[in-house]
Amino acid sequence: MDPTSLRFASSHEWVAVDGDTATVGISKFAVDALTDLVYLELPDVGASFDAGAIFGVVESVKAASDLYLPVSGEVLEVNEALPDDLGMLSDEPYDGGWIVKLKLAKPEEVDGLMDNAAYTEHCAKQ
Amino acid sequence: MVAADSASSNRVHVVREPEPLSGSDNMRIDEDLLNQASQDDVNTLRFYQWSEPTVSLGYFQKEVRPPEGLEQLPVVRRLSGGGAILHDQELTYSVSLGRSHPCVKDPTGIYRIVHAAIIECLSELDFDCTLRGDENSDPANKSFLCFSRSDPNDIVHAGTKVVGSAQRRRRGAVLQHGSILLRASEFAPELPGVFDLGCRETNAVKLADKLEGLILNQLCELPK
Repeated sequence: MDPTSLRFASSHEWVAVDGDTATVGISKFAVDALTDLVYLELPDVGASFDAGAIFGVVESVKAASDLYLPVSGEVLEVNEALPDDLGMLSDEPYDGGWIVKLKLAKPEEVDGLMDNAAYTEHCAKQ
Repeated sequence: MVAADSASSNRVHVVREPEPLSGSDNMRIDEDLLNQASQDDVNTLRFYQWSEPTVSLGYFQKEVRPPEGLEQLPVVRRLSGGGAILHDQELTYSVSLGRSHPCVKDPTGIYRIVHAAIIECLSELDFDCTLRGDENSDPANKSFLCFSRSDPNDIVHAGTKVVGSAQRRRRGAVLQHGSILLRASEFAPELPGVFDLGCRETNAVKLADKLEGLILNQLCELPK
């Protein structure tokens, strides 16, 4: 996916919207900052989350880090291949590195996220 | 106790547990401190010990069973990553830093900062130790016990790991806790501690007293 078509959260997750479905992953900037990912915990399909909730955990350099869902919704699908191929997160963060697909509970929440230009500026300040 | 410089973001509260606690209590308190760091931007340095030999599993070791010899011990799951730790003859520290503390901009750097203070402390007690460094580490080693693994940020004495730490990062805050092996446990006699290996101080409370000052110096004197 073209990053310019995505929306981003300040906590570095991205969202791609297709109708009432959203695909969520973590940005290239976040993956590079985490370095050397070794484990990923995915949520259960069918689980529902509010925006801002922890939906997964990644481990790098003995540091476990929470992942946050930028929008509310029910998990329709998880990228089951990803925990065994974490290189996808850095090689294809906006394609093969997707983490979950959601049925959006509040589609209007997407409007509150940053576009690529605003997110790039946000990263420059980090 | 609170140590601070003029910048409030560098203020660090100190918690010294007066008695050893159970594994579940120790991990609950560390999680509470992480959540306090995350929600209230409060920084805390804590020292504690364990009321009985306990195995803590790294966050991603949930489906791993302790090997023979350790299977009868109580088990707790840590929030942090890394391998399992047998907490027996050790002094444990935790550092919880809120998003305003200058160290959280580079969370990996917190390993180096705290471990530098521990190395300084042990060196002043005539105990020669250093960071393991990249050239002597083996990230592919996934042994059950953390102290059988090798990470560049480990503190080693003549190649023997004596201090290891791990982190949990949550909403901009960081919890880092680590084990300073004091003596070999009867459940892992192959892993000696600093008291076995020649450290001049052999009292855990006095060691914590000295470490407290040196770690606070590192955490409080950083520029904003």
